[in-house]
Amino acid sequence: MSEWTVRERTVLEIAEPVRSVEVRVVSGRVDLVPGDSEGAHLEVTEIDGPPLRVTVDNGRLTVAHEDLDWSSVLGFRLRSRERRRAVVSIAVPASCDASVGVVTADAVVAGIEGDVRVRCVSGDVTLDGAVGSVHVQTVSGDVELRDVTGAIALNTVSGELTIVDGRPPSVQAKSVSGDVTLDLRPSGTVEVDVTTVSGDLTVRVPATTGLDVDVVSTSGEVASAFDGVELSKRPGVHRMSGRLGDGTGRLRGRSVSGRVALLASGQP
Amino acid sequence: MSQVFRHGALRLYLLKLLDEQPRHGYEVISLLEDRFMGLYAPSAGTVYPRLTRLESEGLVEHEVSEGRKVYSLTQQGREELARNVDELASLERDLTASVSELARDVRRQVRESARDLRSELKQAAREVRREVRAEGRAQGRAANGQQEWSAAASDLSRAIDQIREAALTSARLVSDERIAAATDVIRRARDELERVLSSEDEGSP
Repeated sequence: MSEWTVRERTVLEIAEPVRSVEVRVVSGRVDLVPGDSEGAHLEVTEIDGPPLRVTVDNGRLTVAHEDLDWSSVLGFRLRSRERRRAVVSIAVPASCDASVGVVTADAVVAGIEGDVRVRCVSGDVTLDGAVGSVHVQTVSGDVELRDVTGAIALNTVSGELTIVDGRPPSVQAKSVSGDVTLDLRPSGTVEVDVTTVSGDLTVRVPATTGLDVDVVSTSGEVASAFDGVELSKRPGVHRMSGRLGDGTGRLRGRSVSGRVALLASGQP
Repeated sequence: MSQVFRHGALRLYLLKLLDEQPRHGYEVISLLEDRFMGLYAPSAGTVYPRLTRLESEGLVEHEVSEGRKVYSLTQQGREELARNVDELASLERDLTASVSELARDVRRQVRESARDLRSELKQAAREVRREVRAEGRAQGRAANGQQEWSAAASDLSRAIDQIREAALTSARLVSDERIAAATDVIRRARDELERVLSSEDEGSP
């Protein structure tokens, strides 16, 4: 096992092969991008507070504050006046699996092809070009995904969830008050399941998508741009349901007061 | 330390720093550190010999001020820098293309496209909701029309029942002329009804 302690701005070249990476930082920013070696290139461009421990153990690269473990990320409380900031940018082999745990820090994960997990309290999470499965949990941080082709699971309390140009086989999204905006161009069958309490749900799919639709909001308006989707309104149940195209995919949604809109893209 | 500088690039960058203004050695070192966000920290042992060599090539000269050597570019140095202006530009591009910068770019792009998407879809959702509401109102109107029509129809059938009853009870007491007149009233009423119903069919969408 190799080990480094980072106390100041540093660049580390890690020659040992890296197959997975885990980063846990309190505030600041974490960047993960694909590199061109089988090892890793690590830049710490800002650091304030206790040192970061960097280890490589059997192909697993870990960059972390020692007292911040994965399970405590969402409940982490910074002691008053404690300063704990780091900006960590890492290039790893694209095939790596990645886990990022941050408290108030923002996270950027771009071009990583393994499975990606991000846990975060109030920072914003940005993912670009993920191929493997994507699992993101935030409390109030926004989550923005672009060009993701793996299965997506998102969970937030008040953050906004946005998928731009998504081609995933499945999307599971849960939000309390954050809006959920999905722009999907599925390459095959897609399964979408969204639950919100007060957040609006907006889904756009190509006009030719095969979807079995059943979405209900207790008090939020439902609206669809598709003729094949029927809207019904009884007290306590605003529903859209129907079949689009061959109906092979599924769109399920439940909301209490969120509004629901199903939109069509790619119309002539 | 990463290989930040290509061969000959440090030399060029030193000329650039001295072209900006005369500087002493320590200032040059700390500027190099600053510009590269701490990613490259050249030692005094690297920088001073370089400055001395540049001086012997006639590109740099120094004067002593307050006990320290302050270096500046000679005319020849400025010409050397001008000849390599393209390489200097590409060097500066390379230096800023660090992982951190790359990620910052990705973040900015994704955030912008997510923001554009949200506002585009919000607008589209608003329009679809408006259409759905308008449709709902049209359906409401149609439902109202139906109700009025069934009320009218039941009035009509009640009226017909009354006429029939009256006709049966009074038939023997009524003259043929009056029966003919009553028949005429009914016939005209039927024609009038037919006219009203057919014109409504044409008139409503």
